[in-house]
Amino acid sequence: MSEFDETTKTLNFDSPNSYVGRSVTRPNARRLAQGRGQYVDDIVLPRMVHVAYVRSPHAHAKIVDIKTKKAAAMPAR
Amino acid sequence: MNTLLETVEITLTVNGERVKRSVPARLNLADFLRNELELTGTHVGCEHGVCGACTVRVDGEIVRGCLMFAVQADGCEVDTIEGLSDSREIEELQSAFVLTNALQCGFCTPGVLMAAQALLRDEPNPSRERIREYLSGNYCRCTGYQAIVDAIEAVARARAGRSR
Repeated sequence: MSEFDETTKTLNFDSPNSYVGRSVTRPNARRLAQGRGQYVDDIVLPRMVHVAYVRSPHAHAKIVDIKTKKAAAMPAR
Repeated sequence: MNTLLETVEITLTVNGERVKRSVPARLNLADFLRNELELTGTHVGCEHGVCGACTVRVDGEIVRGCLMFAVQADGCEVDTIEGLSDSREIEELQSAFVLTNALQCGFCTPGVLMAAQALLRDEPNPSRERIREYLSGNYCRCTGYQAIVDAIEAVARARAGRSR
């Protein structure tokens, strides 16, 4: 059975096996091709803060102390 | 004086709109467009000029937004994916990308489209090899390049057919 509706120019995907053997275009592709997708880095939330990791410069060492005083004294935003 | 916080006033044209901002001297163009102007279609991938996701046009030439400081764009004309979409300049390419499924997550796509448009402007009828070579600075980590080359080639052929 043909699932293509000539008047609306759309495919009826609800009928059985209607996806088989067909290219199905993705509904969000055009938006993404315009740079209008939203990725994690694009999201801005109220009072959002950022995290910065400080990694150990030593391959194997015991953490004795973490000095946070300077970082805590920085302005929050 | 804290040099990190030192700001410079710049005036430039972005997507045909004049903008004036005070920016830190070390802010790169991609971050400026994304954070200052909220043009998040320009993506930041590798942050060192390898992946091409931040490709934008400055005075007609494509550049890596992450390798240029915002202050260097002072007085320049900058075009981003949003501008090229709104002016419909790359409509044909975008349609071809959708039709051939030349994108999956779409993260690299704005940069790829900027590069493809620059290629077709300078070389209207490139070979598949030439398209691949030109796009060697744009990384796609999901779709693979076959469909991307297909899409660009299709647009080039269609344009050549019309001008004949």
